[in-house]
Amino acid sequence: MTFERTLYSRRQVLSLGRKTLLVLGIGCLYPVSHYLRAKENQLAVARIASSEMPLKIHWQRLGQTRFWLRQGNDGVEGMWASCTHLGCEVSYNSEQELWLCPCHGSRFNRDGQPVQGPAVNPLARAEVQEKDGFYLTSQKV
Amino acid sequence: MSKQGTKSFMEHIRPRQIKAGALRLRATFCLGGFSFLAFIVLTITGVLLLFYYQPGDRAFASMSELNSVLPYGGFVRSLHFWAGQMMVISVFLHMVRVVWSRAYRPLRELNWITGVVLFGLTVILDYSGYLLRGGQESGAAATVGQALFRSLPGGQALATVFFGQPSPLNGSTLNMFVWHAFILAGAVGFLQMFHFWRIRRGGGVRPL
Repeated sequence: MTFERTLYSRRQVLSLGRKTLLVLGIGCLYPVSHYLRAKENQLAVARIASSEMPLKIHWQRLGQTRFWLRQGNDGVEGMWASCTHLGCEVSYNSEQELWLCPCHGSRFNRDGQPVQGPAVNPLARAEVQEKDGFYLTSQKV
Repeated sequence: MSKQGTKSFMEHIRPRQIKAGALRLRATFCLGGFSFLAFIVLTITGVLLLFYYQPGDRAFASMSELNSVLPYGGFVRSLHFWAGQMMVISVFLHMVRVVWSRAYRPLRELNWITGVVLFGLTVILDYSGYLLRGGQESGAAATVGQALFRSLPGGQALATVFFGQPSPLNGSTLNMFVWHAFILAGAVGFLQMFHFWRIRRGGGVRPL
């Protein structure tokens, strides 16, 4: 080696650089976890023009969403079709007037009260607002 | 890999002795290393972008959301953009340095060819990244690229493989996304490893 002795050796500088990288890497964990978790509390929302979805007494599914709507005694009612057991998507069978869960066989009556199966809690209702000819639905917190 | 094999591999990457001259800054200006640093930054930020980017018709909308709503989203995207620009520049300067120090001559011939291919792939990656933004200027750039492809014999087929549709106007970025994020980036990563291995065989710089 033809280098004169200086204040810091090449090795020392490189090892300081490596430690700096390590500290920076650990420092990145916080912003990266925030970035990746940005949508964890996001609630589902959907809307449809009321002319496109004439409501009936039976539940009807809104497009490809988990929202179902029906005409209740006092206005529009919304249902969030997730089983209260482990969250599978339930669907309404209008002949049996039951909500059926495909995963573990839970059944709910038309108002969402549990009838049979592992689920013990009623289905969650969804928020529905009628505004400017649209139904705006959202998950309840 | 056997223990002996691992040891000999590590000694290729970090040999005991190297020529003193190879350590001088003037020998390399660290341009190759700088390009690789940019590539590492691009890989990390690129993976982070994969979590939210939606190739296809939602490309522009998902990028706008990433930019404006997600925490640190704009930072991750800017880092990806600037690392990409820096990589094109540093790879080009690296090439100029290699020509200047005549490092393309035999013994290092194969590595020069590898490097030229890597430069081409870097430019194509930068171009395809520009198209992935899905904005209006991306559509214009895609039109130019397709016209260039079509001027080749059999170019229509090539253009369809690369751009995925006869007209760029409907804004889908799916094919370009597959090329950008998997095929081209993977090829560059693989060729770089080969490039570094050849540098070691040629008695080049010791990496950090």
